[in-house]
Amino acid sequence: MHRQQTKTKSTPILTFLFLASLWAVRTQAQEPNDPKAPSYAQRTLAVAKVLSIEHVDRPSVHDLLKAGSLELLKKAGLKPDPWLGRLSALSTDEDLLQFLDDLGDEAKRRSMTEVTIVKATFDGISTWIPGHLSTITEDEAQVNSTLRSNRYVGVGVYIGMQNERPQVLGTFFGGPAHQNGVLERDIIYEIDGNDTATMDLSKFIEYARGKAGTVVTYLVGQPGATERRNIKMTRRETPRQTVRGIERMPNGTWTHRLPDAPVAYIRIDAISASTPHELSRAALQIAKEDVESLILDLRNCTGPSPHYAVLIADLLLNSGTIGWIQTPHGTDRFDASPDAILRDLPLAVIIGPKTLASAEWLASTLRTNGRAKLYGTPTPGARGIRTSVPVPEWKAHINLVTTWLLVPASLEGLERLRSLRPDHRVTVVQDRVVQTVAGLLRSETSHGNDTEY
Amino acid sequence: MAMTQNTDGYSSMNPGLIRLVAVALLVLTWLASSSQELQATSLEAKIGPRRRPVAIELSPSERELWVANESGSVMRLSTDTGEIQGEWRVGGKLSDLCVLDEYHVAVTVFEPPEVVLMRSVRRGLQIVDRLETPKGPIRIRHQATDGEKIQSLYVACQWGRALLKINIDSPPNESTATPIALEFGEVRQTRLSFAPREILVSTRPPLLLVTDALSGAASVLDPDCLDPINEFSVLGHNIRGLAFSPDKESVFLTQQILNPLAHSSYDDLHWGLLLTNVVREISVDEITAATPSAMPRSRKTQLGTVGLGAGDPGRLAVRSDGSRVVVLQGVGAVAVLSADGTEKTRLRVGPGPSDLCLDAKGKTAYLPLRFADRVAAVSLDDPDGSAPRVRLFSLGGSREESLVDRGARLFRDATLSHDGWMSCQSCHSEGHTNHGLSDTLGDGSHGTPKRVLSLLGTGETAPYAWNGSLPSLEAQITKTLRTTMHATSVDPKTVKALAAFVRSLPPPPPLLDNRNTASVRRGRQVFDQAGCSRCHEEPQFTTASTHDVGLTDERGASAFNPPSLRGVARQRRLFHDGRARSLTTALRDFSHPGTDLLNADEIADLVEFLKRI
Repeated sequence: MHRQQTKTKSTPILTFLFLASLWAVRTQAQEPNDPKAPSYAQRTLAVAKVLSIEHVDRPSVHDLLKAGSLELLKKAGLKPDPWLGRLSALSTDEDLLQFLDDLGDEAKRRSMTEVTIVKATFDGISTWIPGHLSTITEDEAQVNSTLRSNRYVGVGVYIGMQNERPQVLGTFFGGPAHQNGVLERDIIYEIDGNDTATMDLSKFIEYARGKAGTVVTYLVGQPGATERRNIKMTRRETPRQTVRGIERMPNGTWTHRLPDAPVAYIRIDAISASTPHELSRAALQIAKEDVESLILDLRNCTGPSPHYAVLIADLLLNSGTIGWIQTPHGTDRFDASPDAILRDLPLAVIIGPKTLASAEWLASTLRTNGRAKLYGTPTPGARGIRTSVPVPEWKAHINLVTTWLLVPASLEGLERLRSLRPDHRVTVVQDRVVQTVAGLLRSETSHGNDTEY
Repeated sequence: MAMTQNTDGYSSMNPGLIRLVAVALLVLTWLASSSQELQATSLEAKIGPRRRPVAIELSPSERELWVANESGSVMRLSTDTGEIQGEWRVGGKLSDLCVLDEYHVAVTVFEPPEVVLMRSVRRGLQIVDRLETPKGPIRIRHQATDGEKIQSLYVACQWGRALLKINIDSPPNESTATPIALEFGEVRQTRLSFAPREILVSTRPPLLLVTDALSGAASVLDPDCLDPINEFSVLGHNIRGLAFSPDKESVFLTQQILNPLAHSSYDDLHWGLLLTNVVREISVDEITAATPSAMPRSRKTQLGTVGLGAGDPGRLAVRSDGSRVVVLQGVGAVAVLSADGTEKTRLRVGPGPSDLCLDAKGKTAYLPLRFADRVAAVSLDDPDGSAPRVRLFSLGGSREESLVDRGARLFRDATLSHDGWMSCQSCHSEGHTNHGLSDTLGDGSHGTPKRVLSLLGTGETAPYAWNGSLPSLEAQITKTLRTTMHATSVDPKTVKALAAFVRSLPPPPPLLDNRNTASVRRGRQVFDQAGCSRCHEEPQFTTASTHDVGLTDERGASAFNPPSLRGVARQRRLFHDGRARSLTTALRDFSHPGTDLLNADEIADLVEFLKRI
């Protein structure tokens, strides 16, 4: 992913990632005035049931309703008794719905609205379960799914805001925008004839989205230039490159050999469905480049999918246990098969505070299996993998923690992945990290832990 | 071994009788086709049985192409025009062909199993020798020494798990006008631990490599005495092409890898993670080392890419410049890869390219199209693009396709799957199994990889899937097409044809011949007394219900439909997740119901019995 530093008033946000990061609780995924919309009680019970099945810790429906009810009672200024006592005695769906209906009615008598009732209940449930809870619409869930699959449909641009206009921060190599001449730093003045001056980013995204095969037109221009270019593009599945090297060749593949050392460099920006495939391709290129060692840069790697982290680890490990993953269905262990790529090259993995989730787990397992040493700075520690799960009879998905990433505990058994400390702490300025690690890797003179550079 | 034979089978003759027959033959030759000569099929009659060409080879002069048809005939075609010069019925189900010299051709007959040596005579083709072989001769290769002189033939017998070396005798011949009549000479045979298929043989360096038809197992043998030198395996299965690098320092093979960690999801298939099609390069030193590795180091190149899968790679040839020509059987194409493995060209040739031969210059490839009754002549290097690159030579045959034939074609058609990554054959090798694990939705969930089941003889063993949830073959096939292969659409006609084909597959033959030894009799008694038939009921040795045998999968499921025990000794792994690696361990170490109280002798007897069903 190309993250160019730009002078923007607001934080640059990548268009395609934006919707994936909406973690705020939304209580109006389906309009409350819609007569077909489920009631507060139906919605709450449905969410509790989904959570009890799909959340990694399998909380009970009763515990979830209790947590939600407590918060609602608090917001409504009601005492827990006798409500919670009544709740604990109920077992059938019918009884639970009746309880929630009664509680909702009571809250309404205390001047709460349907929206605030739902919000209070969801807040209560969210704060009680590990990893919290959020809801997203079906469309947003679909976008998330295509991102994880790396089959996002669009024109392939990274968008930020510049002087209250959307600005192109970069394009996907080979995507419609790239092929049709959209340039980095282009300001988008119009989209399909609509002036963007009045749009915030989310509004722009609404216009930008569309199905594969549909056409969208941007009116763009470079900052400060008077020339405007009208660019017509057809949306299509546009994968982004998640694996990068040193220099991109005209056909889109990368060279990986560092210019001044026989060391190959691979940067993984995200762990998605395409990443194992891309990594295999990179390995073929590296095999031609006469290198002696390998750097895997995970410093800016997000990893929402443990499944693909498993497949990447399997590519890099020739044997051993990749690791363990706890899901609502149990704890799965994954073993590496032989046939590892690049197995003769000593491996250094660079980590940092933006090495997240499955990427941390990947780094951890490469070290645990003796395949790699870790360089860089500590990682934040994975907090569980979130997945969006549809709620039956409600046009929304809930985002919840479905997976804990596990590693061998220091004494025995397994424990949740914590912050990783590098074997070699490297705190030089970002631009020098790779060269520093390459030097360390080549010399192999420093083997102590927490050596600082 | 050398004996004169006619088309009806063996007949040992004394020399006097041979002379008499020879004279008679000379006379008859002028009058009509000899009884020793194979009758040429009328080329006028274009409507006839489908040929299903499976093997092809150029004559040494490169003026003719020899083709073996699964339907039982051998053909000779002009390489220039594709004109059929003759077709001769050998009989049986031909599986491979080997051109020994300008006059001699040998074929393997899969069923009934034999090798047949034939010689070109004035009016056609004459059988000069035939040799009964262990079950399922599938591949024949020759080893040449002293220039062009053929010294030995090697035959891989898939179901017999045997490799034969047949010396070729060439009796002295004073006449320079008539060709030397070759005969089969001494025969050596060795047993293998797997079902052999592909053979690569070389005199310098002396190397005989044999690979498994199903899994990634391989054996290196002394080409002279067939003594084992090394056994190794590669990750994966369906090894279908073997070739040396030009300097003979490396061996290339085509194969597939089914990843048990991948899911049969759309994404995993789309990105080539579930099933990868590869060309693998292994150093000869690696596989002949004094301390060999069980899984030698290798370099593999993935075939195909996103949007353009390369399902079921088949034959392979390496040209003098190091570039590779690979048949992509599943997508009916041939690909040219540069020396670094990059796919440079892909040309569609038609359904079922089953073999490959190149001319000496490596400029033209010839491929028999099994499901089109054609031979494709492909110009591999055509810089100006002016000439047609693929010429198709018809082999005649009927245009009509029976339901089973259609199913056979679809079974190997990777274009049924999303982007052409895999066919049914990709996992169910030759209708059997690749011995691997696959994480499909066959059991209703991902995260529970299960052993790929054999389809042989399963036409009458409903229900299907490990949990027995699918009542019919049609339901199973539909589910597989939808949820594993992610077919764009599932045509009921396709399902019907595939089901008909699967129903036509006979059960796998028993591992050992049905000798009724004392041990086998005792094993039969153990089978009855231990109550094995409660779940494995004859004649199919299975039942329609599910049973809990005390083994659970990763999601806690423990009720499984027992697969048929027919041919069970051919399985390299047993139980739903392949946790048992042999019949003995399955019966001894997993408290399998009914076996708890068996002692070691009883288990040994039971295994002997199971090897014969």
